[in-house]
Amino acid sequence: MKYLKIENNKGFYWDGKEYQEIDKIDKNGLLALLNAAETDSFELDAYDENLLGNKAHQVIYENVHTKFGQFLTDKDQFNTEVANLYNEAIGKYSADVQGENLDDNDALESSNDEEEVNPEDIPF
Amino acid sequence: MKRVDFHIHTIPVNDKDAHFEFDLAKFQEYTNALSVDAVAITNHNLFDLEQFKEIAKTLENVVVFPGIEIDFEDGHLLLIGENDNLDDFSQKCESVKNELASGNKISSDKLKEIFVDLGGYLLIPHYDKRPKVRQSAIDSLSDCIFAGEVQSPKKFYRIIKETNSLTPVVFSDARISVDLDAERHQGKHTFINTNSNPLTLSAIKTALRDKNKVFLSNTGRHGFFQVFSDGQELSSGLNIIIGGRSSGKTYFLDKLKDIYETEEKSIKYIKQFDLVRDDEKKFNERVEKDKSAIREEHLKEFRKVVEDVIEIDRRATNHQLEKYIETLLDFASSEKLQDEFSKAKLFKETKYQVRKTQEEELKRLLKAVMLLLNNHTYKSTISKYISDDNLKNLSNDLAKQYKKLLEARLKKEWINELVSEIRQQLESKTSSPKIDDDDIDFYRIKLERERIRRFNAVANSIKKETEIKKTESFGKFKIRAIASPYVGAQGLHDESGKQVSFTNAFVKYNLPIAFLEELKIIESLEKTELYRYFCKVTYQVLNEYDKKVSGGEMAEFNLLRVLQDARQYEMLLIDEPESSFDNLFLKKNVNKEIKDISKEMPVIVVTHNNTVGMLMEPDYVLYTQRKIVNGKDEYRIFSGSPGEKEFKTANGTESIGSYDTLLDTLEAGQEAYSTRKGLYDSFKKII
Repeated sequence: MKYLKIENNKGFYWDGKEYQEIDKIDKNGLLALLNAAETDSFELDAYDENLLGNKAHQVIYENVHTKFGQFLTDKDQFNTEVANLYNEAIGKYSADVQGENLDDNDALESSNDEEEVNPEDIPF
Repeated sequence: MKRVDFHIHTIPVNDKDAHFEFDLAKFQEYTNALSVDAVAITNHNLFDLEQFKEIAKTLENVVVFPGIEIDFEDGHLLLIGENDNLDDFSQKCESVKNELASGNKISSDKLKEIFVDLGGYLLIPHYDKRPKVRQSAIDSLSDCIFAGEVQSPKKFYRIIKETNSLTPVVFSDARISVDLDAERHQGKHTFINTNSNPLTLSAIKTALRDKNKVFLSNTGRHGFFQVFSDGQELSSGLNIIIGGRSSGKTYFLDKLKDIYETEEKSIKYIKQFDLVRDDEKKFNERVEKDKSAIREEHLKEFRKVVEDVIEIDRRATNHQLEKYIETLLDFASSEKLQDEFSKAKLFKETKYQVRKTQEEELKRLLKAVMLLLNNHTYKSTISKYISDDNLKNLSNDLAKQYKKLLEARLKKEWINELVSEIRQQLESKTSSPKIDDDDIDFYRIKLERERIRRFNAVANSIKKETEIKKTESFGKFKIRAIASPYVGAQGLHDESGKQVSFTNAFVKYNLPIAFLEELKIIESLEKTELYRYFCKVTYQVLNEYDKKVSGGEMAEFNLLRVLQDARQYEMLLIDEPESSFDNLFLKKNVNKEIKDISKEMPVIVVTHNNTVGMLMEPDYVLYTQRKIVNGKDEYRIFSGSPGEKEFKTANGTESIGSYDTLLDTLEAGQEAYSTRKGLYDSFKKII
């Protein structure tokens, strides 16, 4: 499926549930794309300046597309590297890698993020 | 038979010896008390001619040879000379001292250079004694080395049986000081069978070339070693000591410990009741410590994973991602503000991601091919399957690919540098915000996440309750190692043995990466040890009915454990094992183990018990006796091998009947023995 697409002069990304406009992308959006990036179904519409009317969409789409493009070039290498990762341990302890996802950790990480400091609260 | 001690120190050398004050009178006392026939003065890397002359003049009834203990290669070497050309010997030793003082090492060649004709000396390297001389160094002087110093009777008897070994010798390595206790050095000499009179170095050398002329006891019996100056011997195998209460049995063992405990792991001494003092907690701790190897083996692979994952800084990666998004959105929203600099294509150009993984893989491959190409030992086997030409072509092909990758990488790096420079210049000229994407590498981030995912899976898996080691048999016992999760912060605290709180960390115990990050924050924990806090390993000791062991069984288990450990020592002493254990256990589980150990080293068992005493089939029996003569206590030791009619004192002047002694001591006498036998027979008839 298309994880980055251009439609109606706008850039969109798939956030795991639905398509969002590319200028709404945030850290979690990038992680959602990253999570899917090694799968075969990960497809991207090529960047075409002429199809994107919105200048902001152009900049963001182009940059994110380039970054993922680079990843896709090395995808085979990535998959080989991952296939060998901690294999001895996984085999020995019969670890269930497929059953493991990082959502819990990500949730914990976001809840743990330091709160923004309001400059007015700083007493000097 | 001549008793020789060719390793004696009379001068303390700073970095080798603790300070001591030499005492000539003590030296005389030492040689008299222990009836030594010949000594060699062997100080570390020096020879003091004046002191030697004084010693040689003063000591009576002893032949004194000049010598030196040299730092040779990585070990120590005793070099002993004839006592007829002392000035020459002294000069040569001076050269050794000077060479070492100027930082040079004494190698085989240097030794030959200094002493010219090494065949004129007796050379004795530390052979099975620390610091050892390497075998290759011994080989380089094989013409002149035929004897090697060993540390204990155990090593003496092991080496003397080996076919291509040097002749083993045991010496005291004594420091002749004012507070020298000669008794502590009895039993640490070598006896040489020679008729030479007066005793010469060349006669000793001739004898040392023949293993059949070298002994550890004055009687020249193989398989025995002399322990006390009165001539008392022990077997190098299994000795039992029997005798009435307060007849000196434990004293005998203590004395042996004094003599032979020269360094760590010399003597294993299992004292009476030593093993029954454990409560359950202490017992479990002991087992845990002993069996920690099982845990280490189980967690070995997990440990590697933790060592890798510990380097990941998730927070830093998240910040990079946030910063990247922030600057990207910022740049996009300020599109209208853009000027000619920020509109330049290179202003928002992303860098090439440079990775060396493939290059490294190729490098490894190339190395492997080169290994095949250059191997001589298995050349014919390799050629049978792969021709040299094919290997060369393969290596050329791989090298070409490697070159191509390297070239591509260098080009990318060059371009990255250029882009970076141009971007910097453009950024300095525009007010438009820049995109901060320098460190963003989705490949790396994704790999990092995959590492975490896999680490989480492994960490969750290891803490599932599992039997990690199928029951390991140990005598009649079985040991089961079980991995399980920690159930609270207290468990982590106990594992660390440190005064730190694990409360915050334990909250995240079920999210392994977060838990690891919390552990990383605790400063007093070693980073390399963090793998231990993910799962608990406990051990269960079970008896033959697969039930948890009782108090008595704990002691039995302890005894078997200690016996197993004893094999690393030079001598095993056991004081009345029967006082803590029942006969059936001793017969079934302990006797064979002790007998087996006695095939490797001297074992001395004090006992009153016939199961231990006779059923173990000892090689030598000692009977201790206390007699009051003229109102004074007198102690005697009678000894002999099984089958001998009489047990005799060491000097052979007194003897007792062996049969009666054994029956009296182990069976409470002939009458009790017969009564018991009769009673058993009557029960047998009822059955």
